[in-house]
Amino acid sequence: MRCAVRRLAAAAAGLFVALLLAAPARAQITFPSAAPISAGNIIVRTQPTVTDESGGVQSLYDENVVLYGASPDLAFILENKSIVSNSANIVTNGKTAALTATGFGDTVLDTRYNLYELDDIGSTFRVAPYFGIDLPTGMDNTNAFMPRELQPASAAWGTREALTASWQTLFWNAQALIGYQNYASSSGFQPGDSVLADAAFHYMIWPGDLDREVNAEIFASLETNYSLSGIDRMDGAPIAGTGGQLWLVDPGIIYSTPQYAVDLTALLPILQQYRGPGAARYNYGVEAMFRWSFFTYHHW
Amino acid sequence: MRLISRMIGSGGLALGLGLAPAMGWAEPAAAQAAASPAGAPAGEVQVTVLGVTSPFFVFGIVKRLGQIPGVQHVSFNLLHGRADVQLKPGAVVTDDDLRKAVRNASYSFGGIHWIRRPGATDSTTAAGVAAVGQGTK
Repeated sequence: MRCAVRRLAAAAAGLFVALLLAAPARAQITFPSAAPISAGNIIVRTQPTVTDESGGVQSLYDENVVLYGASPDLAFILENKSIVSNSANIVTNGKTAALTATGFGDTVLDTRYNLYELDDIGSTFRVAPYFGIDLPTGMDNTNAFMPRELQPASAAWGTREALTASWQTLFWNAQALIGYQNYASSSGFQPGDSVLADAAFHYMIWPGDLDREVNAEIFASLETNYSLSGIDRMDGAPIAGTGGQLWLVDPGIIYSTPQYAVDLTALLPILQQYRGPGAARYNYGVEAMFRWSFFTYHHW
Repeated sequence: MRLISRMIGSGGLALGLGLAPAMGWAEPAAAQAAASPAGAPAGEVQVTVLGVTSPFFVFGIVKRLGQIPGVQHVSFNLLHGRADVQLKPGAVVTDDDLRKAVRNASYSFGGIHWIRRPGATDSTTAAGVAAVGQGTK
């Protein structure tokens, strides 16, 4: 009986908190591109990110990505948030408590097909559609007092469809993506669908001479991420403060060699509008990325 | 983060210590040519590859060309989109092998210029150059 009361209290507190403090839609960062992946090439990427939002909401996660070139045109991409730690100052019954939910995040399996390619010496323009499945491999209830949106994972199946284009030259790269993401309901929780629009521009600032074997380059990067999300629902009822739009601008720097690359990017909001009161507002984010390229001769 | 910085450090150290040639992409082809045994001149060919734009993407084409049996060393010039391929003495590599390797690396083939065919005594026996244009899919 005591246990049931405690569970009920936890659920009620969770709902109360959810009404007071809901996480806004999060734009994706460092989006998938149509850049070439050789058959048999494996690229491993780890991407630790910290974000800060109002209400003491802080999120730390490490996204790991494995890209595999199955053929010259077909690539598989496995994305997994290995560690997600969300913390927030939660107000319940007039008292504020700092809470944290830490656990494994969800996984996405993407397929990319190189649909159009125009290559020249030192340049390539490519268009590639993506299709991905969100696999609910993460933990969606590591802290019962945290709102569902702040749990490490959504535990919802989903799909994502995107069209991405890359125009790369020796001195600059431009990339763009437009996509749609939707989720199935999980334990009464229905994340809102999202439309995503991303663009990035990388400009080479070093070295000045490419008429030789170049072993490293430094790029200045400017990326922008826009997401428009539908409102999240719990048992069919809308959760205030969820859904809306978030537009980020992300300046950064990239050091790239044939075998590895290191990026550091700041995530700065320039527009955010949410539906209903109670949304945590995005303050800033910082993302580091490390990519390592391997090669296997196994491919289609 | 500590792990990442350690990995970055070891990669940079490898380059700094001159271990990069062991990775197969840092040493000029001319230096390798000098190492060929006398009497069995090694073949040397330049392959124009369309679509390669930065060192990170050089990795795939160098590995793909290096996979062809008989290839000793590959280096890449980004500005000219040119792979310099050094063959082992006596090795036979066909244009089709090179063409396939370029496509498997997800790039377009731009042309082939044989500097020295395997077994030839001097560079005057070099074969022609394939036309270079845009590669589309």
